Amino acid sequence: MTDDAVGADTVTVDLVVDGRPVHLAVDADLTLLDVLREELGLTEVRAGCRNGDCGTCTAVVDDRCVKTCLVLAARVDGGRVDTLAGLADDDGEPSPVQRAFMEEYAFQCGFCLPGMLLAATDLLDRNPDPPTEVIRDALSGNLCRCTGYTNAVRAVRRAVEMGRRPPR
Amino acid sequence: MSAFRTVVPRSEGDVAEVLARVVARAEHALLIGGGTLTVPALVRGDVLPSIVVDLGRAGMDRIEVQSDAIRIGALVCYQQLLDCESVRVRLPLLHRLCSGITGGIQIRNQGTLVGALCAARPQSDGPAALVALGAEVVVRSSGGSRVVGAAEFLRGAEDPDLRPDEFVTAIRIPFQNTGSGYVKVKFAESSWPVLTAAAVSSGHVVIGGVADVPQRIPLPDVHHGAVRGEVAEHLDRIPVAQRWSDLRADWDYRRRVAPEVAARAVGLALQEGGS
Repeated sequence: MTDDAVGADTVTVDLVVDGRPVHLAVDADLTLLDVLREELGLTEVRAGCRNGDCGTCTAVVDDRCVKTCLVLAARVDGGRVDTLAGLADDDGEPSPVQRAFMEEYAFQCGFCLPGMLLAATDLLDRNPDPPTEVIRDALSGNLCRCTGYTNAVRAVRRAVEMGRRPPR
Repeated sequence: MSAFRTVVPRSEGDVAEVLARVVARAEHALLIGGGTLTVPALVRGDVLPSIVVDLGRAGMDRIEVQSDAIRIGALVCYQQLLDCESVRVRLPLLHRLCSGITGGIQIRNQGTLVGALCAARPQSDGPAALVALGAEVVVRSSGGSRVVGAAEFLRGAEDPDLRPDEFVTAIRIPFQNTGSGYVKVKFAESSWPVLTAAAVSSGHVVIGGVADVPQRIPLPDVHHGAVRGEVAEHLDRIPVAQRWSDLRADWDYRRRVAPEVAARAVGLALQEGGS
């Protein structure tokens, strides 16, 4: 490669991941998913289809709920990444959405949870009382082979009800 | 070792300058917008560019509401459009399209309307609707900018009117002043569309997924039976080489259902327009 080449084979990436600042130099073709799992060892995002379909690589990047397999690492330099790990409160108490998913048996193996929980949380932040068809639509980017989705929809409805009650 | 080099320009001007340098070196650049199509294609190895230009930080992620139109930056995602009051009230066809994008919250936060236009897939949601709405495409290079109509921009299947040193910065869509309807055929909740029809009650319907480019069909008579007939006649005149088939449906299926889909879209447009 000559000096006037456009672009670079490696990129430096500064991120704040779940509140922790990190600085990395990585191959330019890595996705954010690769960086989180392979470089930082975080298992709160999972590698599934790497095709934008299954949703299990979901994280919140600069306040947007996204699939990290669809983002090259260089794009998020300087950004903030919040994974599933940040949903619980400071004492480790699960969020209402997490509690609702447990109470409604809305997962079994847990593979789909990063996408299901973060998409549900994003939905309720945007729309505190969504109708069922909106819930189904919001969760439709996440594949689950354990529950058949019905319990996940029920769990979001339960989280809505929890939001109406004072916290336990 | 990375399979390609990347560059993340920080402004539209930077993008233009980078592309000029790439072309001067006789290299091939892949542009990444929302990434929902391009990044999986890279990961699968379907495309093998020497350089990837990531548009995500170039400041093209804003919606500008003008007096008679809306300007949508190339990196504006579907969710931004859904959240935009002017889109909901003054471009209901676009609002309806965005609310039906497949893939849930994440894809709506990542996929872009301009990306769908540049991908120029005949059956996808964006192209036919943008032709129906009379969208204009703002194309930029280091030599300056030009504006081209969406219908002219779509030269063929996956063949947008873009030279190697050009990129789309935004599209401009005039606000609707008539009723509109949008109907698409898909075979499952998470399926890509098979066929789309976008109608405006001022008198035309545009069908996507029947030919390599959207088919704009004038409708002097918007009654149900007349629409079916006009659409059927138009479809039969599409040259064989331009008729669209893909894995989801062959041309014969598309030819059979398109008149009905068009009639339904026109029906919705008339309803919305108060006729």
